[in-house]
Amino acid sequence: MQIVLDAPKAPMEPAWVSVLRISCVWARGESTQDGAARKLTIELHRRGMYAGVTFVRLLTDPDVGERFYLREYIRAGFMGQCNDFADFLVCLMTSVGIPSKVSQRTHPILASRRETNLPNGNPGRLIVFCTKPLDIAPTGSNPLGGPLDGPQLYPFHQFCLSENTKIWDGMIAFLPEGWKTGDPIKNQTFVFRDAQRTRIQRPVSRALHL
Amino acid sequence: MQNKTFVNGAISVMIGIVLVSILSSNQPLQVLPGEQKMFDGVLIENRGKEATMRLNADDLEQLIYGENEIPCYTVIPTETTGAHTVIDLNAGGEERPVTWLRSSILRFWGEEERAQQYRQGLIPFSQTIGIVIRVDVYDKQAKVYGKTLSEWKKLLAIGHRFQEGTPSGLSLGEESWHLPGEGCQLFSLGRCFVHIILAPDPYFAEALAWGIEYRIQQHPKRLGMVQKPLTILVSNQPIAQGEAVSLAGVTVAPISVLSPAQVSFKTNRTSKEWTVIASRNGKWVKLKAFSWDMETEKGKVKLERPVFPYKGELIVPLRQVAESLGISVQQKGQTIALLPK
Repeated sequence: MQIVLDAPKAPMEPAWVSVLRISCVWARGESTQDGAARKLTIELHRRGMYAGVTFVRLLTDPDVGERFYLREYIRAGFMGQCNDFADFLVCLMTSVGIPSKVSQRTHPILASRRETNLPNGNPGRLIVFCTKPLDIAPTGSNPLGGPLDGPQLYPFHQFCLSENTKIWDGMIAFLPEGWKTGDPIKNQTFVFRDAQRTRIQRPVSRALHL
Repeated sequence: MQNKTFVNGAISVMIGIVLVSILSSNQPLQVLPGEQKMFDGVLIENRGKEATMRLNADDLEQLIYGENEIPCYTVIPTETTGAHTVIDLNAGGEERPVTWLRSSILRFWGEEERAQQYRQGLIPFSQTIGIVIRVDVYDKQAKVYGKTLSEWKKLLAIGHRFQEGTPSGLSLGEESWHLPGEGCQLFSLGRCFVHIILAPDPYFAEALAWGIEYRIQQHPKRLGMVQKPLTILVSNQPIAQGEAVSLAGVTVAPISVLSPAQVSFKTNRTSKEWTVIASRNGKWVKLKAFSWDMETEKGKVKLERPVFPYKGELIVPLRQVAESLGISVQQKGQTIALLPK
């Protein structure tokens, strides 16, 4: 028997047993939606692995939605891209009854939809999603383009968005200003990690569990 | 007379039992359409209720490295399924209309020491895993289903980072691409699509990939591209029929094919490494599984193709290894003659 916060919500309506087996264990003991959402996000971050594989297929219009191959993602041990992480987090949350979770991108995929007006009024284009510098590797590492310190660049990023616009991100952590490796991490910050960075980031991710 | 009959009957029964045992141990794992079963850490699902590809689990197993075939690594079960290998048969064949069919095998390996810690519950799966390989077989050419670099670049958020080809610059499969600086290599070949999802480094990923291309070309169900068979001759006698394969223009074969040319071998296979020292007339070479180099009495030599294991042997670039042992190699068409000096 699995005990959940509320009746499962779409897209997990009805909830998949394979998802409930995970979400109920990961969120065990939580009695609020935010508490459960936080635990699910932290666990996915801890157990997931960012790798050069995806279980998402874009639709004909890639900005309308996407198809997520949930069973394959679970069988692959939570390995994938930001959209896999985001879509799975939506499934986890809705399976325990947390409502209206959507998977949100920072940018449209189609280049024609990225045109925008800059703050100065000139036309511009959204190029990349760029994080602030992340302190995830030993001092002195190459700051750009590799699995090391510094800002990380992606054509877009994707995360789970709640109905009250809270962001839940099982893949990337946004650290407080001035945070250094080994500092304690507060509530809603999680550590960025991917397949090749795992070993470098272990000291940081262990801080999550202090 | 009665006793004799009884004795004969008893012997007949014993033979019957032995035969059944032999037969059952050679039977491929049977999973009926619509079923899912677990056998010793291998999760097999057969989705082919409406259509099948006529491939079974053993056919898929032949396309990937064995559970303990990669030195220093052992298979590890995922936390989600408890399986270290997932075989998905006849995906797409669940219901009509059937527009595509795919069977695949996915396997996870971790470094042995980490695997120990994982089994003891000391570290999670994500910190254990070291190598992940997936091989898909389609009912048609893999490229028809979008297994191309251009499609890959569109589908993935990091698609722009994929680079055509391999780290070595060699031409793998029909089309290949990789993530520079990372252990991620992909290629398509005939009906097969191979994804080295995770490996310790780019050259290791590529070496793993070459070994799988060999497996595809060797597969009895002709899953790769049709190659004209290569014949190896020693003293005009054909040897090792069907075991030599051309990998992008370089012939590779089990190292044992050199045996008739007075080459002796010393194999060292442990959980930590797999090496073979081949020697002949004072010359020697040392080859190591998944290495791109060979050691000789004259120093280290870079190999044209990496060494990889297959069915208990190391597969090596034939010409380079033979010539280092003082064996001349002459090729005319599909015939390769080894001429010991």
